[in-house]
Amino acid sequence: MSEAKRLSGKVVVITGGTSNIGKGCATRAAAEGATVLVTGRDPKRGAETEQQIRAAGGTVHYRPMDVMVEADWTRTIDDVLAKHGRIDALVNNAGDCILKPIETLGLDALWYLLQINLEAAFMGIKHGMPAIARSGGGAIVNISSVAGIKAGANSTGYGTSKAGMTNITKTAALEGAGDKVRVNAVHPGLIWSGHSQVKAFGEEGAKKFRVMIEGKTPLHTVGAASDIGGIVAYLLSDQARSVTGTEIVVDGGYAMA
Amino acid sequence: MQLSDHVAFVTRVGTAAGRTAALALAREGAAVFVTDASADKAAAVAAEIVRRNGKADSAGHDITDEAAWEAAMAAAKAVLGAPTILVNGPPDTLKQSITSLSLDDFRRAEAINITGPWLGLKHAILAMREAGKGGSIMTLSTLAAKRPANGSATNTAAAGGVRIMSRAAALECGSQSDGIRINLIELTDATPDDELAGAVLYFAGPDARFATGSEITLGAGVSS
Repeated sequence: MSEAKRLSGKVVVITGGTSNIGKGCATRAAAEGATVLVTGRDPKRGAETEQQIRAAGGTVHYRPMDVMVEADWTRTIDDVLAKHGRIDALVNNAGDCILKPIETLGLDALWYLLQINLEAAFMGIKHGMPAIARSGGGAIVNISSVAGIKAGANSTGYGTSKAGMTNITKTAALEGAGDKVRVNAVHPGLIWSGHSQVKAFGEEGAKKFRVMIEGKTPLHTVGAASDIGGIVAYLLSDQARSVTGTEIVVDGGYAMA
Repeated sequence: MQLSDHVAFVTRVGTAAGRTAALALAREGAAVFVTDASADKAAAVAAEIVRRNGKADSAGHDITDEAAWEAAMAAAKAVLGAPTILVNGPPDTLKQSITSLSLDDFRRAEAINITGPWLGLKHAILAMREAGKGGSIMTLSTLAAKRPANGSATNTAAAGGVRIMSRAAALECGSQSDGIRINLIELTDATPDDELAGAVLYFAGPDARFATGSEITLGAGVSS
């Protein structure tokens, strides 16, 4: 968009920034002038992301990190502050999805989803918010899901972990307001990336899942990672400086249908 | 400029928020048809856009009157082309207790705040479907749907009403596969121009192609 460069001078950390939604957010933030730190567990994808964003003229650095490990959080935040002097924004995006009926969803799977979706957001806010506050204020965006606001079968674990993110978002917005740290949630609908859905459901299953979701979506389509990149860039920008504690749904209308 | 091929229709441009929305859309290249109950105020905003090298025209327009909508929409189509963007301008807020407000005053407020946006949805959807290019409709509202306050019963009724009305309209458009997205922006009297512009341009532009039935709440800043 022509209001590009809304994020010039900002240092933005995006977890899970080497694929899907996270990569869409990283690509857009870099295009709008941010210095982007993408984290992830796969150095190969990290290198690919660096290469692609740099080829487009963006500034990006990959940092290996597991969002479920608290020591990784403190190390990442400390390193970014040491190298870049500030952190203006954090996008808690890394997460995972397991959809199974409650009878077959193991307790270990529930714990895993709570850890990677909810606990990671908690730690991101816990360690990121003070760093952003010390940098003079900024924004945190938690990438939640429509599964956190609309119940669906097979999502007792995933939906619960994402619903928790909404509550932590609003609470953190209250706690961060005094330090000018804004905290908002984005609820994406089905963002099609192909391979992650194939990984989850298999080739045929992914196709069926997409057709099923499109049938229930008022706009009759799935989203792309860039659709979430657009709203996140807006939320990180100063245009959204009074927006905090809110949830923005970008789902083709799925959640209200 | 991301809206170069677009025609926008903006009501209540005599208000600060309506004017801001119109100027922002024009700045991004949209041709803008601006209306207000006061033809003079609408003409002044159109002149301002033209002075800044934008494309605009205007009309006096009572948004509570269906014939006026038909006439204004026809004028917009004739002069600038069929709108692909509609901004329903902000409500007329009033702070008064239920017991001290007359039914006539209540009806007058709700005519502007609910009937007006409803007619806007209706006639913009009709015009957009006829043109077949889809579109983006947004209604400017207030925080009153989420934050009722002493003396805000009239405002809450309007804000709550248009909030759910927007979603219902989004579902109707989805069921017709007409490519029309319908969203809501909640703002306060103190919302700065650039913040309102950011939200309007988000919903109007390609970034929001997957957003319908959604809302952005400005000024909910818990610190304020």
